[in-house]
Amino acid sequence: MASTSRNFRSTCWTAEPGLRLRPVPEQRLCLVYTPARPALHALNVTTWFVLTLCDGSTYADIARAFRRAAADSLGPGSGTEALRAALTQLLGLGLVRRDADHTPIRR
Amino acid sequence: MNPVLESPPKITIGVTEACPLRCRHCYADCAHAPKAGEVDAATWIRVLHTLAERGVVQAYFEGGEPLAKPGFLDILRAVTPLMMTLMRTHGAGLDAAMARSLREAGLGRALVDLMGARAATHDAWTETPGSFDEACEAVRNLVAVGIPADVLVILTRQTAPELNGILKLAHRLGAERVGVLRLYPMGRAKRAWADIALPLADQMRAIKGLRPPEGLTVMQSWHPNDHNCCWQAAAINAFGRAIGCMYLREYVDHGDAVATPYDEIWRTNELYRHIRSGDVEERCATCSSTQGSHGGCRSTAFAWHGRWTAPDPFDTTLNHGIDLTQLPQHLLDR
Repeated sequence: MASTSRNFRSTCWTAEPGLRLRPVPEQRLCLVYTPARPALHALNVTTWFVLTLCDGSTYADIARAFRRAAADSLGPGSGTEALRAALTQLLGLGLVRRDADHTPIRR
Repeated sequence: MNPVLESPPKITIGVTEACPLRCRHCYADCAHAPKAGEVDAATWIRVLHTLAERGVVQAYFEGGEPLAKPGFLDILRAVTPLMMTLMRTHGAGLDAAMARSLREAGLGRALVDLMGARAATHDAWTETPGSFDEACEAVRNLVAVGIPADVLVILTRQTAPELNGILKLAHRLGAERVGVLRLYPMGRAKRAWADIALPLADQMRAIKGLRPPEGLTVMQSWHPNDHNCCWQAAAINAFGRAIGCMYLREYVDHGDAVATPYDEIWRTNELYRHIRSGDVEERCATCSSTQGSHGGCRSTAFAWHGRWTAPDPFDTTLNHGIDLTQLPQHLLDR
């Protein structure tokens, strides 16, 4: 668990290039097309929001922005575990990458 | 009521009504050569780019046989950077080289029709000797180059006894899923109906008897999975007409989708809005709860009753004694 925490915290998170996002707000989801490995994924509001935060920011920056948004609108289930679950899902789908050597963008 | 979308995220393109096969049930009444008035490849590319600009993120190509469309690979290459693409094919001509070309063009998924588990059944159905071997080889070739492949089979009197054989075959060939589809009374299927249609009880028996090998997913839309997917359905036929769903091809014409952006037709055409709305006289509570839409398929509801609000007779709870092996007179008169 400790090493998992380090993995999350010690890296910057960046959306893969070339993704096409198609918000479907009526269904509270976002469709994401990955041309490099053709597939279409449906993300819920939380995971969709986390994807938009993955612009090369550090985990700490993402977590801060996520907490702010959670307090405003994301609602229940939007704590640290939800953030990690979203990042894990995005990583598994190949929508984001972790870059330990990347110079973080400061907000 | 059904869910509501402001504009369609996905679309089906009936890219041609040409096909090298002569299937007995062909919904499009295909010929070997393209029909007069079919949209050409350059126009399809323009239409698809406009669709992408206006929020469409997936295109499902069918026909006819998409691979029989002159310039089909050019269409794919032009749209795959913008949209997820799927292609329904009979596999004719889909050899190893074509599979590589499809991969290089960025095709996302292929769906290959099988009309039997044996060459004798399939080839009799397509009236094309060798078409079964080509379809099987197509699945192998797609999987070999890394394009996910599904198998589709239409449930008929002829395919019903071979369904589990098709599941096993599809699994052996490397398919991920098999879709078992209902038979629609359109095109040549309408004319051959008496020979090929099954009573609903036999259809249900066939669906309940499906035994997919481990790892193979089966998709089917009989009760309790009967959905009314019109709420999200968008389709353009080979002549550039907006028809909502390919299974409505003989019943509606919502307008010119080459001259008019599709989302404009989506918002303004009254019949299209009505069909999508989920305004139905009767619904199956179980199917509504599992599918989130109401009344079942609008194509078969309209085919048997002649009303867009009618119940779907393919749903056991909404059938009310209709014999699905008999077509209603109003449909035969069309």
